[in-house]
Amino acid sequence: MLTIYKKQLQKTWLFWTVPIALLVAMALLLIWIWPDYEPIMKQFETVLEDNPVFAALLGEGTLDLGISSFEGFASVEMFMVADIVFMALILLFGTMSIAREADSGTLDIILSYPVPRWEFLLEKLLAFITLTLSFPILVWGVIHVGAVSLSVDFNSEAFLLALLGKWIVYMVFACITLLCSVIFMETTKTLSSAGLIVGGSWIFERFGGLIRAASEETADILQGVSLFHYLDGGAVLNKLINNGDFPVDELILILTIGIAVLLAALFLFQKREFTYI
Amino acid sequence: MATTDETVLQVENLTKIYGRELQLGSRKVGRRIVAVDDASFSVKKGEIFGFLGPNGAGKTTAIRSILGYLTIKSGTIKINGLDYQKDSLQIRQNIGYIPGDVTLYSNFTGKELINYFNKFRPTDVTFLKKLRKIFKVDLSLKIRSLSSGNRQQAAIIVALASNPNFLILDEPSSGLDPLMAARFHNLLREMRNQGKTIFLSSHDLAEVQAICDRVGIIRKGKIIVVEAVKELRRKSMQRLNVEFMKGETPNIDAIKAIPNVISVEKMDGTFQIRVKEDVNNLLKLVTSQRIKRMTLEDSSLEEIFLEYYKDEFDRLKEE
Repeated sequence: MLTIYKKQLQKTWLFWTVPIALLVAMALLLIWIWPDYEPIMKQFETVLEDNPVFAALLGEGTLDLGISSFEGFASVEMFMVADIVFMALILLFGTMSIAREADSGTLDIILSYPVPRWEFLLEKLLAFITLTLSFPILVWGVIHVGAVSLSVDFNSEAFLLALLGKWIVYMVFACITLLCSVIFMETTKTLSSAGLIVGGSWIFERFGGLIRAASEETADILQGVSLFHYLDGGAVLNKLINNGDFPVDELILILTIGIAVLLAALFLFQKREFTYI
Repeated sequence: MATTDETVLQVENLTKIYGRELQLGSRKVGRRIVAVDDASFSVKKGEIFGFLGPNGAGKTTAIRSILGYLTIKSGTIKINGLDYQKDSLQIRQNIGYIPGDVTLYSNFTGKELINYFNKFRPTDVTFLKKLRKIFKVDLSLKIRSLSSGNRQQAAIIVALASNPNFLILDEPSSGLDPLMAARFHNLLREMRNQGKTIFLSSHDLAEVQAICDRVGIIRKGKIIVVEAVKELRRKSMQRLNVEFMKGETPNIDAIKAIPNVISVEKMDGTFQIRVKEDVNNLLKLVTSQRIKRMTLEDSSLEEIFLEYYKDEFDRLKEE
């Protein structure tokens, strides 16, 4: 039981955690520079208020949360970089899990052993989930310890929930790339299709935020179809700090999509044939 | 030989079609390939069954269907009486599979691979020791650092480590040097004698002739013959090599006129006469003259194989 899961942890932990370690290093850097930045950020916030386009370029919601607060500053920087890092990780995960194994022929060997196909897929995903869980935990841990030691005013609980929300969205994307991998069973097609979905979703969310000032309706449409719009780190943080509410409806929506996509991938992988022509 | 009447693999009317062809008005769209066409054969317990055919004949498709990787259009596949898809997990408890052009996880050592697969199908420690004596590959090295021949040896050890009762081998000795190939053949014979069943697909006709008890020849997806190797050779052409004494002038036209004679060729003073089934009339005619040297040989499996593929072989020669 959990043989594939353990093997994945043992053999891939370095690959998945090095990029996360970079995000953790970035968190350290953010907390380290904050005392010097804090006074400047107040001026910067005024500039942004006078020029909403600049704020939009930094990401929608920047002004709502206030970049002069540490939560605002950390979330704008961290979530923007984390999106890029995780997009790459998610695409690699989906491609390496099934498509690359099918391409190289190792899938034929492992599945000649008495392993249910769905279990093979699920254990790979579980290993990825376990390893990437280090992102919210370590980043939060570093920022929390740093904020306490530097006596920075910081809503630690809200920041943890925002990180976890963001991570859940990433895991749903991981399920989507897994489904692409199961459908195409080929590296190039998996990368293209999953890249289109993940990258397209990110562009819709960013572009939607950028054009909101020009067309509210178009922005709503673009962002409505983008999964990056839901459980967005900055927005979650904003809601938690200003209203004390976690967007449970968004969580339910994202989890429903994730579970549905995962079940579809498991079912398809169990039933589909492995043709390579 | 430990062959019994107990059937391990039963394939009946197996048809596998890739792709689809749609009729859109007067145009046909898509591509439909009949990879295996109504194939039937069985493999008995304790035999080595050779599966022969050139590239694209449908061998790998048949093997992948047997392993449950492909969904067949029609027919049945049973392994030890169990359905290839419904009882797939149970079947895989006791199958050793070596695919053609084998790839193992390159970041694993051989030992790690054995330990990993041991969790799914327990290793027979005594048999593993024996395998490690036969194959000289260093299992403490990462697979990526091994030469292709050593990788193949590692793949064989990993696949056979659980000492499975049924082996499905697709070109297993490709990449092995002649010494290792001979050792591997001895191992397969030994396993066969212990009652293991081996389904072996190969291009190497000498290998098949040396170790297989029965063969199935597949051509364009159809099984064209399933026969014991000895029987196939007996039924097929024989070659009479005759060197006549000096001064003797054999009547070639008369030899050619014998109904069973297929061809007569002269090479280095020796006549090679190919004859099918009854050789008595030929022998009577040939021995009417003084002979210096004469041998009668069965066709090799290669000759038999080429006989079944004669038209394609001729076409290739013309091209």
